[in-house]
Amino acid sequence: MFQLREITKIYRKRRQEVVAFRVDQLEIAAGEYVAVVGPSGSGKTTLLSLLGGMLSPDNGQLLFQGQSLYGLSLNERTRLRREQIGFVFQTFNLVPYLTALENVQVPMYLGGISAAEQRDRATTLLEQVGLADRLDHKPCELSTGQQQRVALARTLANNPRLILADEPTGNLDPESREVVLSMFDTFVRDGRTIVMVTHDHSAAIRAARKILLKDGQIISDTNDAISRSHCA
Amino acid sequence: MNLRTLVWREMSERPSAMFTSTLAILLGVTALVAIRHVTVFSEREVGQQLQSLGANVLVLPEGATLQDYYSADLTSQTLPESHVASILLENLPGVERLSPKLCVSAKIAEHPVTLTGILPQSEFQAKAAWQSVSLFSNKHEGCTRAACGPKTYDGAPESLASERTIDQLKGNEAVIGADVAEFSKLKPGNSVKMLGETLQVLAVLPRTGTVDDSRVFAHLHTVQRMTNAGEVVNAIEVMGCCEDAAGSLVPRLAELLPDAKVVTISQIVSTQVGINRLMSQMSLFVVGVLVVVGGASVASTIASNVRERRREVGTLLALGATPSLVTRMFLMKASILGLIGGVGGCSLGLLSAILLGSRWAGVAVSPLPDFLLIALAAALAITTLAAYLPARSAARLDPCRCFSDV
Amino acid sequence: MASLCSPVNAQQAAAVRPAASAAEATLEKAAAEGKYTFLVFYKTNDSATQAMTTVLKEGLSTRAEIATNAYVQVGQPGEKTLVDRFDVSRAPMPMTIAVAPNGAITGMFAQKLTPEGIENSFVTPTMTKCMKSLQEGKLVLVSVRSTEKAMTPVSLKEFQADPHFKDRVVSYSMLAADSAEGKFMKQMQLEAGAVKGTTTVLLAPPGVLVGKFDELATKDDIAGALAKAGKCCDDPNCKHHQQQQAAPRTATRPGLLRR
Repeated sequence: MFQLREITKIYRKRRQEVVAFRVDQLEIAAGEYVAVVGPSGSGKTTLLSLLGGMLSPDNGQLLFQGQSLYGLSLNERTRLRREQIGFVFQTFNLVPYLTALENVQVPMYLGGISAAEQRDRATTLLEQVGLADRLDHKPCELSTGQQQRVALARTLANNPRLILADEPTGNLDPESREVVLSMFDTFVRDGRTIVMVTHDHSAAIRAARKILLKDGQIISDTNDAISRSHCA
Repeated sequence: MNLRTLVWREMSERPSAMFTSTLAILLGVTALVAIRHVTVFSEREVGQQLQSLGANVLVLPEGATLQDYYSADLTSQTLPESHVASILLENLPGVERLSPKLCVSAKIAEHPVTLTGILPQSEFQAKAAWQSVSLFSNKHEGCTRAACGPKTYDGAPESLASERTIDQLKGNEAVIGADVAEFSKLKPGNSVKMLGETLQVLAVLPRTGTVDDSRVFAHLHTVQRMTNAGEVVNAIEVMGCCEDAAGSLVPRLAELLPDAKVVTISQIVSTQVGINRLMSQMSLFVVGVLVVVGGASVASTIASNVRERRREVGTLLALGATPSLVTRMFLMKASILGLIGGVGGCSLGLLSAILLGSRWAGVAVSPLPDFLLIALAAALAITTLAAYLPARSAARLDPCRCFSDV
Repeated sequence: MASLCSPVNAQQAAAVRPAASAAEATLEKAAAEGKYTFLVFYKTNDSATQAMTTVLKEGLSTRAEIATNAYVQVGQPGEKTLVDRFDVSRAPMPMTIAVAPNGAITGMFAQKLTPEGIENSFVTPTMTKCMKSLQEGKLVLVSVRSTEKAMTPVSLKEFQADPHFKDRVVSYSMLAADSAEGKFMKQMQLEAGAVKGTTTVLLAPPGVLVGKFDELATKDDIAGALAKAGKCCDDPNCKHHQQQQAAPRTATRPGLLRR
């Protein structure tokens, strides 16, 4: 799905340059469950932003499904993001003044789906995450776990093939954390690709592949599936 | 879910903030609409007055001011009534009618009124002969309104309100203004006692909205006798046949009557015209204030809103919102603010104009739909334009703001 | 003045009621004798009155056959009739009024009298008739004939017969060459030698020359000129009013001489 070649991203501030991320070669295949781990400032979010088409690299080439992602125009990238990528945020990033149902409808609206279909699909998604009785509740009226489930429903609104998750379990209690990780397992089984940035070790071990970053560089890249196949 | 829902939900989340941000626009539009309405109707009123008064010239005592005449407060300053005859004898071209008046303060049932002595036009019948004495000398070139044929003095007494002269009025008769009739409950045929004399009410004038509503008109010579004023008047209205003639009348009358002040009616209303002009300029000033203050207020509100919603905007961009959608979102919000401010301002402004127009300017105000639309469009335009730069900056926000550690 | 208008018949004079004041008596006697009367109205014998009196006496000193004068003190009960007749109770004083033998007022002079004013008060016979009629509020048609045999235009007869006008129009005739009417001809801006046939002149109160019409003019031309000058008549359906409202006249119509 992704091919990164000699990618460099540098942040410049007050005449100082900081290499936020650098990689010579990195490939992420479709259907992979990748956990990106590392200390704060290691470049995890930079990698996520690069993969999400929201941060163009200073050097190198990033191919998405064989096509240069940053060779596309801003609008084309936006459309691609809308149609093929789902995001999960640490702070859920729900729109505070919209109801649960309306929050889930936002990506559908952005995708040009009709109002009736928006309502039907959003209702179905919220029912799937067990929030059928919270459709008209605003985020401030939901618990943390419920908010994250609304966010997950929103992620699936446009049926994305790729999910980029930023610390999806960071603010959750163990029970809610398990709910989220279980849903990720389901997503992967459905053939979706997940790239998850996390500090949470228990979340990271659920992923088949772990990429360790430090100071903007990949220190290690282990794939349990390959290891298991080798062992077998 | 659509853009309108997105915008309206956000706005209705904090209604007080929404109201505060529209306040400047609302107040600006209110002031603009109120001033403009009062100005327009006041100008129309002045125009109608000028039109109804025709090409009129006023002869006043030297020491009298225009305001004195306008407020019918001329009790102490007089002119000899013989000046009327002097004007007629001079046979000035373009003089159509003369109306000498004597105003004195009086009371009816303890209510103050202005008793105005007026000479009916029938009294000028004999004097009409004076104008034919110099045969052919009364030519006013270019004017086609030489009264040809015998004059019939049979106009209704109520025509005094519009024509400013009355054809017939006996020595014991009176014509009363609308306000006088209202508080005194007098009707035609009733008697009224003033200054020790009883007068028969001949007619009640229609309401004019001027000082005439509180006047009682009686025969000039009767009023002179009632007040022991002598053969005097304190104003002579000279009705010209047309504007052309009126222009040359002023200097000639001034030369004929050196002890009098000769002014045109337009000078009398010039104060009002001056006020109207000032108000017109004020309305331009208000437009300027509206643009600057209202626009700055909206720009500040939207910019602040963009700062508050950085994460939300970043999230929307991450979810696939285009920059133009983000721009439209904030511009729509500004437009709604402008619409609310505009509609509210127009309503308040119109109400203020209706209430204050009659109280302060003495004019009846009704809505000017065209101007209200313009004011509304202006409010919309100002708010939308003011929000443009903040909206564009919102569209250029980094979508990475949606992530936790940015 | 070479001649005066015809004196009032003595029998008619006798039929007039007895005068209440000396001035009235003078006025009536002068009318009977065909003389002009100069009435001086005054309140007090102040310097202005004396000055006016002096000028008048000097002006009439050579005209004793055609004019006389009288003095009226306004405020005297016996003079009320004259004061009311000439409506001078509120006029500036002193005032001299010149009255023609037929009662027409031919001059009014307030506070100051000049020899020219006195001279101008003596008008032609036809002028006195016209002024009298105008002062009574009538329309006046003057036929200015080139010769005694010149015909009365049909338009004039028709105009006089028209029900809209017949009760308020009078007509007088004069010869263009009459030297006694020279002053009037000049006022009407007519040359005696230029008059062909009969020229009709229309005068309207208070003293407006409405128009001059040759023999070819029609009644409608005359009525139209009257409508253009002001209100033609009281009939709201008068076609002249409608014509005037429909199309303002700019071109000279046949038969209508320039003023």
